[in-house]
Amino acid sequence: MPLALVSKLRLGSPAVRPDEELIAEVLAGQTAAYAELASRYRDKVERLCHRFFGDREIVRDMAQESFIRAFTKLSTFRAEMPFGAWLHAVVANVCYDELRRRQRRPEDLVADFSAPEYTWAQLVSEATPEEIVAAAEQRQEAQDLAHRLLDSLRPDDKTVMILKEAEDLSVAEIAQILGWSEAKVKIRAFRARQLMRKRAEQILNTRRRRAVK
Amino acid sequence: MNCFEARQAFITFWQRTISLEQRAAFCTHLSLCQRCNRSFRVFALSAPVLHSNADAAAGTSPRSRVTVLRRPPVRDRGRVGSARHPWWLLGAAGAMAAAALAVYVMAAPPSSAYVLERTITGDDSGIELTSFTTGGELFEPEGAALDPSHPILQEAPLGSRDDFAG
Repeated sequence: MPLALVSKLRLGSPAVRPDEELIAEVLAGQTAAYAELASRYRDKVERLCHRFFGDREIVRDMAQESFIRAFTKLSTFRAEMPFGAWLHAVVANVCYDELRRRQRRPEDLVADFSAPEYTWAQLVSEATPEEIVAAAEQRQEAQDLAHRLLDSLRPDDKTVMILKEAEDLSVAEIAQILGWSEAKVKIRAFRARQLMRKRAEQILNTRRRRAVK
Repeated sequence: MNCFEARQAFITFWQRTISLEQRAAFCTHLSLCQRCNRSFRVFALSAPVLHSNADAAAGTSPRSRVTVLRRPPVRDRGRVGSARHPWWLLGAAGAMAAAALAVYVMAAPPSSAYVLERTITGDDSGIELTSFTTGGELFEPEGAALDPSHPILQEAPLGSRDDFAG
């Protein structure tokens, strides 16, 4: 794995005992050491899961599923890369699989906003940029609508969008994590960006049409 | 600031890591350029998830973050006579400080000069040996910190943590 990817994916957390030592213990049969590994990376894992899913229950489930999958695949971990980077790739794949399992029709997602979401869309449409940024921090519906917007994408597109935009990974890095060709990642990224813009314009225009009525 | 620079500044503006000068230039550009303005609004719809700095998964909700951000500046918090610190509160704090000082003076051991003077004069009626008790003995018997079997040195069992290994 390229060094740049390793440094970007490094989920951090220097600790008293190195990750490699704990992993060696787990592989030797001392499974209790895995609890310490999990506690080190839980916040980072849940944060990445939260990019994919807005529901906290699903986020917790996905985080737990990620740790379970990482545990069962731990023997495939190679020490030349940080455990955090490897775990990051596991989490991305777990969330991607879940997205595909939960595949929904995009039309259902954009059609029925709640009243607070409409209010937020109205604010985004009309307020000044500074007001928008300030208001986004206070409003849960800002996150809800953003999740709804992302949910309107296909699982492939959403995964690429999150890894590229939120995690700031390159095309090559995403291709490596998901096991895709770089061409596929580029196509998905382009398509995802186009669709996101289209859906966002729909939201803003829908709100405007309602306001006219 | 041109359009390219403005698009580059979307994320830093959203995350409030942009400098004040750049921020002003950014806002000026958006007020003049309709395309960038529209693009920013499109960006703002997904930014709460894609470009949020909040550690939502760690339990810090946006609302609690706002609460922290909206705390008054330090210079306002200590202002005498402000609505946040009425006079009676300051008076009570002063009275408590005076009471604490009085207790300290009464409980403190006599100075060595005082003890020496009493020893020379032979008048030890006012000296209590118990007043020389060290501070550490008030909490733990001496030597307890060196005893590995002492309860304070026993670690919590590892199994009390959540075990994702199931």
